[in-house]
Amino acid sequence: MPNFYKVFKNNNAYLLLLFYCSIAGLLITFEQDYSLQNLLSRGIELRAGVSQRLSDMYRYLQLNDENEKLALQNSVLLAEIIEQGSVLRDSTSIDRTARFIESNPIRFIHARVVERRFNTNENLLIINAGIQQGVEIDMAVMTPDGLVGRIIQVSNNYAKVMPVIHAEFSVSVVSDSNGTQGILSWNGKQEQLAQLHYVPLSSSIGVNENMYTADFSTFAIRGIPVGQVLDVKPDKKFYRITVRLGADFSSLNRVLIVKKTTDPEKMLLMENTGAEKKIPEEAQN
Amino acid sequence: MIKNIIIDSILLVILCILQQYAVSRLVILGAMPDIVTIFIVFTALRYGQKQGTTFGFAAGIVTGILSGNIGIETLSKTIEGFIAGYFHIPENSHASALQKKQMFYKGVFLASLAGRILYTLTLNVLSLPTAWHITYSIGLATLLTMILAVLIYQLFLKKILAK
Repeated sequence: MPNFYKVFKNNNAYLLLLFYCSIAGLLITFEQDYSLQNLLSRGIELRAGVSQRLSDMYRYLQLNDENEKLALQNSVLLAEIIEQGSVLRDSTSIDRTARFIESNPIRFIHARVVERRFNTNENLLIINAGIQQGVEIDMAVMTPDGLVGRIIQVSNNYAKVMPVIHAEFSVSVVSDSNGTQGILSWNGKQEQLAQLHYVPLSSSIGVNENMYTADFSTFAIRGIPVGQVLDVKPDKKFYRITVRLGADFSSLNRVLIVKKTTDPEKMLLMENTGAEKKIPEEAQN
Repeated sequence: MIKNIIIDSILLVILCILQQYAVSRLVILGAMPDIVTIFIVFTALRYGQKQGTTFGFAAGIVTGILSGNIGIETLSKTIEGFIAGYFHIPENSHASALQKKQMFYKGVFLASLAGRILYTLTLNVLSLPTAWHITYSIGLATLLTMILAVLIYQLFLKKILAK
C-alpha cells in the first residue's frame, strides 16, 4: 500500500494528464450529444452576441463618414431638383436658363455651423468653410428645407453668415403658383416668421403658397425654397403677408453654400449707369 | 498562492475571449498566433506541471465552448499545459534571467508545436491535406505564436519571471 501511494505521488502529473485526456476523449466522443450541443450552441450565441456588439460599435464609429456621404448625395439630388424646378417653372426663358445652368452648374459646399449669435436684432452664424473651401462673399447659404442667409465675410477656413432672421437681411422672392413677387425681410420678432413686402393688392397670392428666391436676387440663385405663406392681410396699397420660413434656425447644424453665383451679365447691367449702350461681349459669355 | 490562481483564472477567461475576438483577426496566410498557449506555458513555468495541465484543460474548455470544438480544444490545450510543465522553474531556483527566458521560449515552442500537431491531425484525420500543407500550417502557426511570445515576454513577463 505505501508502495502504491509512493507510485501515485511520484506520477500524479501523468495520472492527472490521463484523467483530463479521458474527459477530452469523452467530449470528442459525445460531441453530438444533445446536452453538449446545447452547451456549444449557447457558446456560439455568446460569441455571436459579442461579435454583433463589436460590429455595432465599429459601425457607430463609422457613422460620421456615412453621414458625410449621405449629405453629399443629398446635395447632388437637391441641386438636380432645384435645376429641374427652375426650368419647369419658367418655360419662356428655358433656353437661357438651360444655357446658364450648363455654363454654371450648381455645386454645393458643405459646412457646419460652429458658432451662432442670437440677440434681439443682430443674429449671426459662423460656418466652418472659408476661402480654402471655395466660399466667397455674397454666396447663398441654405439647407434642403430653405434659405438660411448670405455670406458677408470670409476668412481662410470660416465664413460669417447673415441669416434671414437679421434686421438688415432682405431677398427677392417669388411664389410658385402664380409668380407673385415681393421682398422678404424679418421684423425682429418671431424666429420662424418673416414678412413679404411690396405685393400689390391686385395680386392673387394666397395662403400655403410656397415662396422661392427670385431671379432678381443679387446673391441667391433662383429656385431656393424660402418658406410658405401663412397669412395674407390687405393694407392700404399692399398686402401684409406673413411667411413661415422653411429653415429651422433653432436646430441648424449642417448647411449648404451655393457655389453658383448670379449671372455676371445681369450684375453688370444692374450696375451700369446707362452711359454705355452695349454690355461688353466678354460679360455676356 | 490561491490569490494568484484566482487572478490567473480570471485572466485566462479574458485571454480566451481576446483570442476569439481580437488575436484571431491576425491571420497571416491562414495561420494565427495563440495567446492562450503562451499563458498556459507561463502558468506551467510558475506553478508546475499539474497546475499547467489543469490550466490547459480549463483553457481548452473555455476556448472549445467559444469555438465549437470543445473536445479537440480541450485535448490539445491539456497536452500543451503538460508539455510546458517540463519547463517549470521552481521558486527557489538559481536559474539566471537568461536561462528563465530560454526555458520560456522553449516551453512555448514545444507546447505550441504539440498542440498544433494534435489539433491539425485530430481535425483533419479523415481529409488529410498534403504533408507539406500540414507542416506549413503547423509550422507557421507555431512561428507566429513564438513571435507573439517574444513580444509578450519583453513587454510584460520579463520582470515577473526574472524574480
